Amino acid sequence: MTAKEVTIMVKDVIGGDSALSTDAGIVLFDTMVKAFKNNAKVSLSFKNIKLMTSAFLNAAIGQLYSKYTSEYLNQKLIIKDIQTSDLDTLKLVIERAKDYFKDEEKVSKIIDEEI
Amino acid sequence: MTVNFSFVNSVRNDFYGFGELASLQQQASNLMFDDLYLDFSSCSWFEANLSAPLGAILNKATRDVVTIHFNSLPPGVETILRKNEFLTYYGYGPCIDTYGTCVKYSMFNPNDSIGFKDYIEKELFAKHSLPNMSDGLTKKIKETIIEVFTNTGAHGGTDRVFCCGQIFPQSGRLDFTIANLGRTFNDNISNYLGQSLSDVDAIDWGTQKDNSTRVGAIPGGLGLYTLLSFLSLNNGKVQIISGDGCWTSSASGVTKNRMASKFQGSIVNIEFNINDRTNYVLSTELEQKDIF
Repeated sequence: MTAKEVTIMVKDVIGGDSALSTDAGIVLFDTMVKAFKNNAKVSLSFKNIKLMTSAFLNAAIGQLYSKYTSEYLNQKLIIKDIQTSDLDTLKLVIERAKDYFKDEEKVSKIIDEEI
Repeated sequence: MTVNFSFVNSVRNDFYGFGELASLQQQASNLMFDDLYLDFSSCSWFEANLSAPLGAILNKATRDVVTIHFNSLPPGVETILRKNEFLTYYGYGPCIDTYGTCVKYSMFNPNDSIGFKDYIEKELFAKHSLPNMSDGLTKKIKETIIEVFTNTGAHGGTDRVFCCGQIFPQSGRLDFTIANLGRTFNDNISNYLGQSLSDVDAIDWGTQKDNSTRVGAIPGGLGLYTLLSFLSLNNGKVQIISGDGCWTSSASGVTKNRMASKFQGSIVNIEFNINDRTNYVLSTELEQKDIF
């Protein structure tokens, strides 16, 4: 069975055009995790998002590396409609998250705590 | 008990000015049901964005039922502190901001990032006195200021964050200050590292790209890095005061100084070069495939 493809509109999930807080990032993270749990392929659309902080991106995207590998995310997650300056920030957040979670013990501990 | 505190000379965004505020905070921190007299008779100028840390100090005192008295305010200082509405919290009337150079003094719950965004859009970015900036520069400035506000909430552990700004058209700068009386950088960082650092070295550690005290599933560490990277391009400046540390990053590098008094909390002053005509809209066209 092929994976279902879904589009997640960031503006809709966080309820506004400003992606600023860690809390808003966690809401988006939780939504993506629900999709991945159902083996979906996600198109994450930043259309009409006007402002975005790295605090938001850390919680929404950086946190994905506590659960998923780069290979998995490259297959399952597509970033769409993002402004170029925000893409710069996103790439920094991804670099930082990869480094943060390269410690396998840290990832195991987080997963154990969740279980 | 009565405490008299005199501001002398000019209180500006510099080592001396921040030292005066740290000294005031230290002297006012233990007052309860007391009187605090602020004497401005020897103070020729007070840079209005410093209303943020002054307000943090006085708000804490007010909540401890301390009566605040302003003595001998020079007309120029009184006018600017009425224009930015700081003095309206202490019984003075507001004054029209004729030149549109004030960014109103305000306080926020640190979780209210949307309210804070609305505030800077209305109070700062709607100013006709701001020079024309590209949409990209405007967006970046907004995001970096919000980033500092968000970090203050995450790390300070306080229920109030105090903000104020001032445009200085003649020197082509905009100073925007965010202050709180929460945990210092060193409180967080020494605890995280399990080793003792000086206050200014703790600030320095906290500003490095890969350093963060964040634990758990959400990585951190980019907020100040983004801000510092941008301001080095903009030829602006960041000053951070926490404990007795006074840390400044500018185009000429980082300077670290130790003040005579400790500020229990943090002050972040962001100075933008508003004469910057660089277009920050796009830096690089990045491939959006396989970015993970």
